[in-house]
Amino acid sequence: MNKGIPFRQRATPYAFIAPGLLLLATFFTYPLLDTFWLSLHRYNIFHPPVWVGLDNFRRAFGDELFWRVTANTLLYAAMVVPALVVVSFILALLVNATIRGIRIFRTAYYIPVVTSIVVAGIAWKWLYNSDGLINALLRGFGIAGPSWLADTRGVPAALLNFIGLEVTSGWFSEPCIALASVAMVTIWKASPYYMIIYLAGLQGIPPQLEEAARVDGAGWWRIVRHITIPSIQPYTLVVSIIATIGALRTFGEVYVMTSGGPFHRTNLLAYYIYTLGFKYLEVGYAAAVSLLLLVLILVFAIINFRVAGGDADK
Amino acid sequence: MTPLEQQAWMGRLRLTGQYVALMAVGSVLLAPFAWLLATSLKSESADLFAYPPEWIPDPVVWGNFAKAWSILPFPLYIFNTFFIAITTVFLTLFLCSLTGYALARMRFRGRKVILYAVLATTMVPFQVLLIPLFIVTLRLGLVDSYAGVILPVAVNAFGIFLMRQAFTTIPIDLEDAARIDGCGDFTIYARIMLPLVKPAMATLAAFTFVAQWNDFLWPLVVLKSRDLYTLQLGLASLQGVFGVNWRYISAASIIALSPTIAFFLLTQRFFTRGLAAGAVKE
Repeated sequence: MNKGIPFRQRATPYAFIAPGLLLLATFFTYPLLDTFWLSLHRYNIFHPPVWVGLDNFRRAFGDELFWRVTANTLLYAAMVVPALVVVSFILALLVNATIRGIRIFRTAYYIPVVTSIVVAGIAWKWLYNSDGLINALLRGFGIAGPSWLADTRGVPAALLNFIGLEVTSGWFSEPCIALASVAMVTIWKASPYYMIIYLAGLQGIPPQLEEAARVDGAGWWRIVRHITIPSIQPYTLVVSIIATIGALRTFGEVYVMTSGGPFHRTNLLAYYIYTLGFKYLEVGYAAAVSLLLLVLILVFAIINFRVAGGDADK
Repeated sequence: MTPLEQQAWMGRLRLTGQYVALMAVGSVLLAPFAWLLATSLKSESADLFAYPPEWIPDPVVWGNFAKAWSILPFPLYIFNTFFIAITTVFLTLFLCSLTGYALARMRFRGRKVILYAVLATTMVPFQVLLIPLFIVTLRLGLVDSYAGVILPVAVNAFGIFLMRQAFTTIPIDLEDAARIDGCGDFTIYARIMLPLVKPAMATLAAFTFVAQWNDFLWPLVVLKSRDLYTLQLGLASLQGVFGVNWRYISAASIIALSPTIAFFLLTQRFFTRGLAAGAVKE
């Protein structure tokens, strides 16, 4: 089909994309393929790789720590994603007002997003200190706060204890206070990001819709429930997908605040992979765990599409 | 009260309520920074755990900043971070716009496939590739160098897609006119098209700069010598050095945070605009 077009002209587009694609091939495609290859080997960087077949995967499935860390990661996403959807939507409703100075509020709200995870982690570690600000404020209500980042008691069990119920059942032991405290930091840091996505959605809703509802006598909540929320369904899909991938790859919060402790209760897959690769030099095993994380991410992305995408079709 | 007065009064009440809610939520979101700042300004003799919490230190002292500055080589770290961030911005702008331009405005075999492949890369997070990426960087001899930090992140799907979307909106007539005038492909791209997508370039530059300024995991893995450390690496290494002196750690955190906030306040309109554009098109 390209006959008659000079070579130079046919080659031009490829010359344009070559530098960018070369970097992507070197630093994305090759490492991705290498992950598969490495996952089938035992390798510690200093000695040549040894073929071990599927041993690394077998090892993962038999590794209690792997299951602990995977459970943590799922619990973490289960806390962070719904909270982000709700909190960022509420923030967006709040800053969608057309009143004087609203831009200042939007900018101020966004500051946690542009804060580095190191600074954010340090700030929150300080707030969570057992004699820190949060516990000082709680003391004002006569509540003795826990040691937030080190407490392995389950959040449900602790809440039930607080209202005077003693529970021993394992059902109330997850997620633990330390993991929930780490999740809180992610929610704080990421919610204004999704707020901006929701804000774009809110501003795309035709004002006539809300006006018509108001004329019909609908109150604030009915408008939100029956007009706003259905209208921004596609944005909820985007938010939940990005938030899920974000939650499953959390690293900095763990590195800066807890190093995965206590007893691996805040150890998440991305941090586990990092320690396997760079602390224990278990490169092959780390690659296998990386692939399992990738599978997890893809499964959740598909579920998100199915759930949110299916609703949008109606 | 007449009905009209009543209505005006209700409106004012609602407006006040809105401001109160906005301020309350804002205070909660920014409280961690306020507390960090308060801690950094407290004297050695002040009780950090005083009850009730002391939000405004008495006396206000600046000595913690001097102490933090003397313990960490901040000028070196700031230079490293700035150099890495700025170089990445220019590389990203050039490479993503070049690729995005071809994908938007040129017809060639494999264009659709390449576009989808680029978009698919967003499904594989950096953390999954961390270890093989380190091995590639090691084999290329780039570990513990600026290039090792910059090159792996210089091109990304977000940038390519953002530039592609921007180039797509430019009318074809402009290109035809330039071609009739005898401009070559690269000249059309560099002289005619690039100036027309300045807003998208500014958005990409702002995002890239902040992302690189704040990046932690990849520099942590790839930089070994302290001479090359970025601000974030230096700050993270502080926790051991200072033991538990929260005054110094807070002061150092404020030093590391201020340039980001200043940059963000100057460029914030690009952040909201870029995010909105990315989300709607997806």
